[in-house]
Amino acid sequence: MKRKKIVALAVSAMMVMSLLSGCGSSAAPAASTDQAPAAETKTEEAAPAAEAEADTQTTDSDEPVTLRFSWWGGDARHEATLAVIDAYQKLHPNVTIEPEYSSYDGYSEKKTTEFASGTAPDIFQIETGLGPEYYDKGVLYNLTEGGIDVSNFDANFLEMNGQFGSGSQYAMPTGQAGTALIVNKDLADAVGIDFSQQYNWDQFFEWGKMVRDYDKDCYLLSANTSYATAFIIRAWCRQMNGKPIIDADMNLNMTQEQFEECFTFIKRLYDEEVCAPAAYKAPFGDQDQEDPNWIAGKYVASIGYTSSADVLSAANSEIHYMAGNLPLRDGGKSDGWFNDCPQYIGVYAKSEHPKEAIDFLNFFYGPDAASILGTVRSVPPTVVAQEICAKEGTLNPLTKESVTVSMQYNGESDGGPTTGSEVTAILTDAYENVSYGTMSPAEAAEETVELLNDYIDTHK
Amino acid sequence: MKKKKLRSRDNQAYLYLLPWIIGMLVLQIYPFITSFYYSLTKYNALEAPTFLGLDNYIRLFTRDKEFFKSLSATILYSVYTVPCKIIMSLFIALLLNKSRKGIGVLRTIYYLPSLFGGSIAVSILWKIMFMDDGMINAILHKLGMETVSFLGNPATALPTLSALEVWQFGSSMVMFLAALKQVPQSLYEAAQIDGAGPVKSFFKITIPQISPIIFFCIIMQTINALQNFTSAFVVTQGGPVKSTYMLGLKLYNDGFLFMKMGYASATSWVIFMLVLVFTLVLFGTSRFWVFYGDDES
Repeated sequence: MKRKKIVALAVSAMMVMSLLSGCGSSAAPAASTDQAPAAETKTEEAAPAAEAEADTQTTDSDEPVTLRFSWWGGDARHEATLAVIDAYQKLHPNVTIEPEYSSYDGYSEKKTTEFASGTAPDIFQIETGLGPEYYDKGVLYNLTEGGIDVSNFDANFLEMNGQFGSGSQYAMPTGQAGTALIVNKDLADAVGIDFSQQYNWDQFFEWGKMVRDYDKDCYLLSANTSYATAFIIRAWCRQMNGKPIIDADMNLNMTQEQFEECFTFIKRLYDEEVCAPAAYKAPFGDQDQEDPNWIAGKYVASIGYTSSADVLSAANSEIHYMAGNLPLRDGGKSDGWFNDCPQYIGVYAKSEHPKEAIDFLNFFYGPDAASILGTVRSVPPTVVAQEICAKEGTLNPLTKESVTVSMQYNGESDGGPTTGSEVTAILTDAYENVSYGTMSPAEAAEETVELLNDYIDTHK
Repeated sequence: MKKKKLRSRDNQAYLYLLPWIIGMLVLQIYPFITSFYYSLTKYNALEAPTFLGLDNYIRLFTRDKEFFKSLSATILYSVYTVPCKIIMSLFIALLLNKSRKGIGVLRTIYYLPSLFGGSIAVSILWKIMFMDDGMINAILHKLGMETVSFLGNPATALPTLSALEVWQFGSSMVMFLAALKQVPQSLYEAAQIDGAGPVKSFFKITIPQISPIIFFCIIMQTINALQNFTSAFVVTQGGPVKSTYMLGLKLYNDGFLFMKMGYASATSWVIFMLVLVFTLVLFGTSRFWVFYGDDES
């Protein structure tokens, strides 16, 4: 019996260990093979080195080259991007582009493992907020030195989007975008709400009450935690202080009192039923267009981005939509709202074929691709592409309108540590705790400041 | 001559085992050891690790409030799932331990959910079923009952995920079924002669006779539950308000989202120790209730 027990114990221990080693550290050994070169691959130095290597490897233009291109998105984006790849391959028979596309779930995490193992695709789409983080980690190729064609771009727009303060282009913006309030104009008109006027944050409470009085099944705002965190907390700091929550020098610019004021505002949005209940919205994640109440036209407005205008309006084509103005703070240091890009596209610093990858990007941002892509990544980033789309009728009018609305504001982007994954998670947790009522605004403010200071201490 | 033949057969056996041994060394032992090293470092997977000593562990236990939320969610999940799954699988096994027409088909049907394992597809299906406008709420509504925000409410999200795990009771059920078949019929006959009813027979004969299998299932299910990741990741993303933020998911986010591989490795070692402690405690208690056939006592 004793022997049996010992054998059983040993087998159990083995299973525990094997299960854990499989789960706990699968990325670690892969990463370890690669860590030394990755450490050396630091932004400025990385690009010329990679370029020199590339020069030696791509001397013959007819040499067969295989590139990998990954992006996330919906069906429309997938189909259009595949068509662009097809068109490029017809012009360059020696180049094969392997598409790797998916939804956004797990996309960034997958990139992390690919960076760690040195197996990231040659060309990849990047979430705007993560651009500065990727640049810091040295995984982006210097596109300027690689010869990217920026002649159709506005120089200021590029400087603000994809250079990360370096003076060189490390990522290309895929379009023009900004925060958007997509308004169900039919319901807004019926209730008597005018989102085309300029208003302040407190106006939401008055409008929220009007909507509830009009119909108990309706709410003023459809606010998912992810988008609403950026819409309220980050904009609050930009408007109040004229600065991001954490700036590039790793200073925390929002005080505990300011956080508490902001969280009190969020709590009121839920207590006074301006927003649909957080528990109702949670299962839909950031896919507001899947919420049956949005499809049924029971929200006046959805908090989101210009790039989501087309999917939100497609959810119910019988409703008339418009892009609403964005709230301002009385006496704020800045109007806070800014126009940036919905995503970036970059080339991997360790790509074996950066020249070909950049050549593909030049095609991707050229006129032929513009007519294929339309507004699958928001309004195109160049005037030439916008004109082509407008002429061919592929420019979604609501997307264009929402970009125009966001461009009337003069705030500055808070891209950097504030939009990094860890800080975003801290802010999102705070928003969720307040919206669910599991923390008071004061408690949430105290914890948020503590966690942000902790983040700053470990990243300085 | 005989000895030589035996040695040659031994070598053959080792040769057959070699692929497994290599796999074990490269894919399990090596990551296991390196993860411990990384747990003592600051490591973002792109730059060389910096040695920190026990800082990651100290931070986990003294400064990381999220860790205790995750720990409590994980333990609660295990408490919900393990007993329910064992009772459910034993109950179904008892029902299927009969010789009736079509019993094979029924056994296959009950085993089916386990074939899907902890797959992404099943988790997505679960999510759709338990959404506010999903099938379960539609049924509740038809029955004239209040609908429930299963995935949006922190109080119901964890039990909903636990139900997914319990639903996949097939593998335990098959083991119980096999164990029940091994219980000598003569014991029941003797008990019947002595006047024992079915309930008494169940607790005095069936349970002790299949106790090694119960013990094995408890150990395996506990290990599984403490390592949950897929359902928490797919169905709830750890929410709402971290109510389903299991340690496995925290480890994943720390490592792959925040690129804190050293810290994530430390968390994985804490999970390992946790599983080990639970397993040892269970082994410690086994001598009081597990009956082995060759046990003289």
